[in-house]
Amino acid sequence: MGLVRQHTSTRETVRQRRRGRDTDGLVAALQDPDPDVRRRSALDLDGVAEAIPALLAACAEEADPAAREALVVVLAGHDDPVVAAAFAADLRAADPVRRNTAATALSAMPSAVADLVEGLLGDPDATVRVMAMSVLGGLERPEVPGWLAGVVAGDGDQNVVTAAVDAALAAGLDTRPLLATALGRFPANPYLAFLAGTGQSPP
Amino acid sequence: VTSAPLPADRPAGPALPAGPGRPGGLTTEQFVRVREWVYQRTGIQFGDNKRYFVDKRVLACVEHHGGDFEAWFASLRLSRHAARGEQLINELTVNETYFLREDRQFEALVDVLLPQVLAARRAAGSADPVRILSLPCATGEEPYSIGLTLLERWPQIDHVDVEIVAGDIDTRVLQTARRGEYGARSMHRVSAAVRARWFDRIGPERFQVRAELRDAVDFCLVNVCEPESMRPFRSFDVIFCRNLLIYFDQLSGRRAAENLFGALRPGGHLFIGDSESMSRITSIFLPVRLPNGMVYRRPPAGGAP
Repeated sequence: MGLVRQHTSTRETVRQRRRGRDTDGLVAALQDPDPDVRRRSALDLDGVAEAIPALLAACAEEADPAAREALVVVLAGHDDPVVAAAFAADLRAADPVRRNTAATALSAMPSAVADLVEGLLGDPDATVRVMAMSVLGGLERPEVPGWLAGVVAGDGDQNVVTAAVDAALAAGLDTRPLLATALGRFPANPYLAFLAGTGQSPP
Repeated sequence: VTSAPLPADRPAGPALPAGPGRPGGLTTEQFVRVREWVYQRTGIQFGDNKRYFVDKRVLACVEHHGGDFEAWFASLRLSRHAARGEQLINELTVNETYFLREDRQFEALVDVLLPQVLAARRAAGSADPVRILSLPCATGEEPYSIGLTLLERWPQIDHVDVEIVAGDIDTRVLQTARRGEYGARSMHRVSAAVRARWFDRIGPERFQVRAELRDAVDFCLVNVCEPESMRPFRSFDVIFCRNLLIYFDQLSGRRAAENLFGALRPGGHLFIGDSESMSRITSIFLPVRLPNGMVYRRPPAGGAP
């Protein structure tokens, strides 16, 4: 008894895991009754483009948080219009975890998300527009500063405008001109006044 | 196949001013290319404010390989030059640690978690060893500190088997860790009594972990962001992954958290750094309050806490 060293078990695990990892078998395993099997099957489908439809279908129905997380991180690796559209629909989900997960995933899809931005910024639901700001804050596109400036200058909802300023901060942009515009439109907004008072600018 | 969370055609990172960059440093374009390459392989993202840090280390690598940036960068992509990529990652990962750092978590391991693990083993009639993972282990201070804490503070160590596995993405620090040789800076929190019991003096202010402890820790190369790399790491009762997740962007952090989740047994516990918050990354772990901080738990099988 005491401290022991044993590394054969990890090698065994590798051998066992490499058996039978064909795409069809893994896709079928996304419906396994055991959530951990579903979770591991999703991870094994990382980078497999033909599995996207099955992964999306599983993601829409998956109730186990860990299995769903695995589906999300694997799907987020595909900068793909179909995947982006599915996550964009999740931005209006009632569940805040689902909404924020979708925003994180979309931030990692700069190509596919670009085509969705106009629709998201014009969505009649202000909550969706706030979530869209969360996407833009992490999105690496040269258009992001222009998109955020447009929101700050034109969106009628104060929460969306403050979210746009937050997104600019998250993106490391100079927020001073945005804050000036936002405060000009909503001078009584205490959060904007607070940000202006701290002299917010990128590090 | 890399598990890089970004597609190959991802645009270059956040906007940087065009131009030659810092005098004597990389050009902006070179910096962005290196940053993207590192991100795709490690999930670690260097912001513009890390420019000086990155430039200095990249230029050291370029110099070492002949001084031509383009030739060096092209060689990073060739498998026959894998050592060059490895060297770059080694240079860019920070390995600053010391024995018994944030030792409240080691105390919680011994006083709170391990008794629970043993109780669960007894209830299940299992004689499986207790498994602990330290990741990233850097130069080895953390996994050896775990071993020291068990040997010094946990009488049950005489009655159960404990495996300590340690992993890092940096091959160079793994070599240092296996040697187990440390200077005064690493050792400043180790008492004279513990030093006398578990270290050999090998020079003025130089000490080596005794073979008995050194040989008990299994050191492995691993990238926490890559599912393929993490797949062999399974069934751990406790994982220490401290002060690593703060270096990742949101999606890479989620990937790393997902891989750590998979490395734990159902019901296993994950320690992260005091300044980190798992709830900002993912909700798949259950936060558990300890007398001296927080630990994150993989829900037990069946879902009951």
